[in-house]
Amino acid sequence: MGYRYEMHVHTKEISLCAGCPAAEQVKIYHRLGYAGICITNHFINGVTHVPKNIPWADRVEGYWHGYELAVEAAAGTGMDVFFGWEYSIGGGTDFLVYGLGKDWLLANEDALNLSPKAYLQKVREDGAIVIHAHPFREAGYIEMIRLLPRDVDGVEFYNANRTEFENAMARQFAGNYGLWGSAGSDNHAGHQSCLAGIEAPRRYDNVMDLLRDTSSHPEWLFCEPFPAMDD
Amino acid sequence: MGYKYELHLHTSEASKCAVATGSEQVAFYNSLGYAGICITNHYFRGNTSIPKDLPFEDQIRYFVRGYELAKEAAEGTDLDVFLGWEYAAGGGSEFLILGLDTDWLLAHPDQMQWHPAEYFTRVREDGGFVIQAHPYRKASYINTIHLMPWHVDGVEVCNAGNSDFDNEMARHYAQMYKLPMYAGSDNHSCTPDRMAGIEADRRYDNITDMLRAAADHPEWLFCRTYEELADQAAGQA
Repeated sequence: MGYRYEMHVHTKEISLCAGCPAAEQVKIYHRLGYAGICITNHFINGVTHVPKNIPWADRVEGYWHGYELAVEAAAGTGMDVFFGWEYSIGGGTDFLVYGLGKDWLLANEDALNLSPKAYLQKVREDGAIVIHAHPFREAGYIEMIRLLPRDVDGVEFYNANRTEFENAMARQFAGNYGLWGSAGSDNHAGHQSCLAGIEAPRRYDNVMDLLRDTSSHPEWLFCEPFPAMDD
Repeated sequence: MGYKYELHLHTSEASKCAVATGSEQVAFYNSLGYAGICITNHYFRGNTSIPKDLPFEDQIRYFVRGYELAKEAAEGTDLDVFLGWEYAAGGGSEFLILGLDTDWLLAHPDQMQWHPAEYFTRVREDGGFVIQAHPYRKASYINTIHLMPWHVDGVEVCNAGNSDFDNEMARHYAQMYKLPMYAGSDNHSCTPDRMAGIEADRRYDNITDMLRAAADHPEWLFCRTYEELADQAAGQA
């Protein structure tokens, strides 16, 4: 087996919709033999436990703490934990942002006032890689699909919680516009029916290099049933 | 030669960006031997010339005047004229609404407060047809592609004013979601280089009947140069 990376994970402490604590997510992925996971909780302005009526610096600290909990849990395991976030423009349209950290968040409170296009341009100009999460997701509350092919680096070719049709539409979209591929489990629960991610031939100490190399290797992307685990 | 229908046409009476009047467009399409045209001017929130300071009913009367003038100009000719409009959902996303009439517009003064999904639901429940115009158009004013596959009756997969890439993306989208495919010129003048539409098997006196029939006949879609159409019409004269 190669070096597996989970690119889309939520933790209970931060994402309102997540049921699995950071420590448990780390434990699960470590037991599965993963080389690394990306904590991509819903962003500060979205469905999170982080209070919205406190100073920005405190909101950032609160949000960052979710990631720190995962890092603490992974200490000594050999598994890397990377920071990212899932930025939402509303209506079910979400983008995974990788490569920026707490300092950027602290310095860019005003970024939340930007239009979606301007926000994506801003984070990318500042060094982020942006992956459109589940662009063709279907759900009862989703009335509209929104695509910004010229403002993202890539697309989730596989989101483990989406149907094969939705994922196929995402791959077609990415192929038509020459966008990178990524994959993620969108894991909110720890144990779920499928997992998706990247299986690389070597270890990566940063998620940006992983994503850049994966862009040339779509065969590294996987989506498969959750493996059986001894309790 | 079949019976040609233009599904996407603007006139200067209601669309700010159009330079041809309804009667000029009628003469133009008659010269090309068309069977029917849909006047689909830009509606509220779009690039419309509807005065904002008029009462709602007067705004609607103003809006449909372009269609009425075209219909008058077509009397006595073989060209049928149908009312439609190009509904702006926001962010450059536009949808052709066909098959409804002035009374429907007048009956819904709050329609622009509806979410687009609700708008299309009501249009379709009341017998209208919703076709997404140029869904993958690339333009400086368009930041986001918006798709609503669950709320439309079809997709404009050939817009004669769009690039081949934009049209091909629309076609892929329609095919994957199994949505009927349509075509239109997006004609704002009487001098288009290229035109697109439906070439049906017979004349239809009801536009929604034609659209439903065309849904099963993607081979009826055409996209040709003006010269080709003019030559074709001249050959039939």
